[in-house]
Amino acid sequence: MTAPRRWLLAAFAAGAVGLAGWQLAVVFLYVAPANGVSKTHKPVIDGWIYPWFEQHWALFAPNPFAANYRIEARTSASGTWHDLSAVDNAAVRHSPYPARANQNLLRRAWKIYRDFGDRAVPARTERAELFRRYLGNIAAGRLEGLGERRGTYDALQLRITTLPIPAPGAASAPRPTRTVLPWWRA
Amino acid sequence: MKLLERASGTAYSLRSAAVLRIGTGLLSLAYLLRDIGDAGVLWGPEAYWTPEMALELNALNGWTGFYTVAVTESPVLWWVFYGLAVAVSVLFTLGWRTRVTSIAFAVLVCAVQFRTAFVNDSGDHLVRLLAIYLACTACGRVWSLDGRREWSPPLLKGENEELRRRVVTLTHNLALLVIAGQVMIAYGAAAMYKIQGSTWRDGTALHYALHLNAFTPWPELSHWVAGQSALILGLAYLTVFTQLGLPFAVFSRVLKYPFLIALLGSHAAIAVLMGLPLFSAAMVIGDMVFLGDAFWIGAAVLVKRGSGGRAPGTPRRDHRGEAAVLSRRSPG
Repeated sequence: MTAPRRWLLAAFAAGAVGLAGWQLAVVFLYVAPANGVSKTHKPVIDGWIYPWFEQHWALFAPNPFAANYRIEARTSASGTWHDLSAVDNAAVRHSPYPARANQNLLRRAWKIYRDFGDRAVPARTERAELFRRYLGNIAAGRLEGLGERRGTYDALQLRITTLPIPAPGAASAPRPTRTVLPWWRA
Repeated sequence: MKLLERASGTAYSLRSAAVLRIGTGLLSLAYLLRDIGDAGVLWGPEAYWTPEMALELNALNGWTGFYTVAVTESPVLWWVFYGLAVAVSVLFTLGWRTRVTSIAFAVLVCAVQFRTAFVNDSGDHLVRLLAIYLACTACGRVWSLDGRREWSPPLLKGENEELRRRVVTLTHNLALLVIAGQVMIAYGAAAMYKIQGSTWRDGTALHYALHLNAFTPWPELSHWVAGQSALILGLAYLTVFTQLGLPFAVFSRVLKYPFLIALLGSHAAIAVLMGLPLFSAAMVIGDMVFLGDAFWIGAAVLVKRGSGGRAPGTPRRDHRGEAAVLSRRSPG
């Protein structure tokens, strides 16, 4: 190629190499444990990463979660507690490729509500209120499958029992802890 | 300038790119079709994360426009969109008009994942990342419908065509480097987090992981494995060391193979024991970026010998002897 096109190619190459380097540098800073540089430049890093390049690699780390959740729900109509987690566990059992609705959905919704929600009804921030409604919708959907039809009750309530996994060789597990959420209007 | 000449003159690892394309396309199909029964409640108008809630949170995040393209109240529109995502995934896997299809694929994978971010896991994230990066590669040149087509005329004339080709080739090579870097960062970060954890250090991490209800489809087997303290200690250390070492091992043409085999083994175990086949497959597909064309040509020759025909993926329009050149120059 002659000079002008060679320079055009060189300019493109410089830009492309710069972009590739930038991509890897920002991804590295985003996934590495929080550090001085990533804390200072958090808005730039998050602005570049979300939502296109979102990724999380701290799987079962630093430590695997050492407990199981039992998420139960009841309605104002019947008052009977239904074990929603048991439904998920039964669906996962002996399935080589469990559905994400059973493996992830409810547990993740609870963790998001726990981490970003507040216990107020309605929640104090728009975001927290969204996560409260999301968890409530899933519970209502699951209750429907257990015979509690939508529209037959005014309110529903969730309680979450955290069941610690006993340490290897331990005779007994630490005591379970229980969180009871307020009644939510259906 | 000599480096630029080379980096824009030879498209490296075309076969690895093709394997990544086929793998990512199939994973996208698995993502969409496995949960077709739940598609309505995961992403559709009836979703627990309702269209209204999705729009509201995206607005709070400042994500408007494209990010909500898959959010709809209309069941008809949703199923058309879903069908389009499935169809494009098939075309991308087959490598049909890959230049255009790969971009459509990346856009649709992102759109579906952005619809309900809370149901995606790390495997899904990797599929999305690969979809975006692959749109910048020439992943449809071999082992594809495009590769079977007869030579098409150049798009431009003379030096403009050479410039276009060099831009495409350079972009392809850089995108593959970014994929390799991305996978190295993922393993490096995963190891970095694990060595901070007391249970990975004392070798009991798998005991807890194998007692999590969501990840024990075969509880009898999982609990038996969890009870073998020497085994789970060995597996925990092996996991940490292979993840930590992979970003360095891939620079060695010999050492990378045992590392990739160890990772393949651990992902196979995760797929079966923990009920995470899509996640495991996504990681294995990502690892494929480290296998150069020499490896794939060798594999194709073996398949050819076995079946007694033309090696699959030998493009008709390839120059004779390109395979030999590539196998000598293959960049690790």
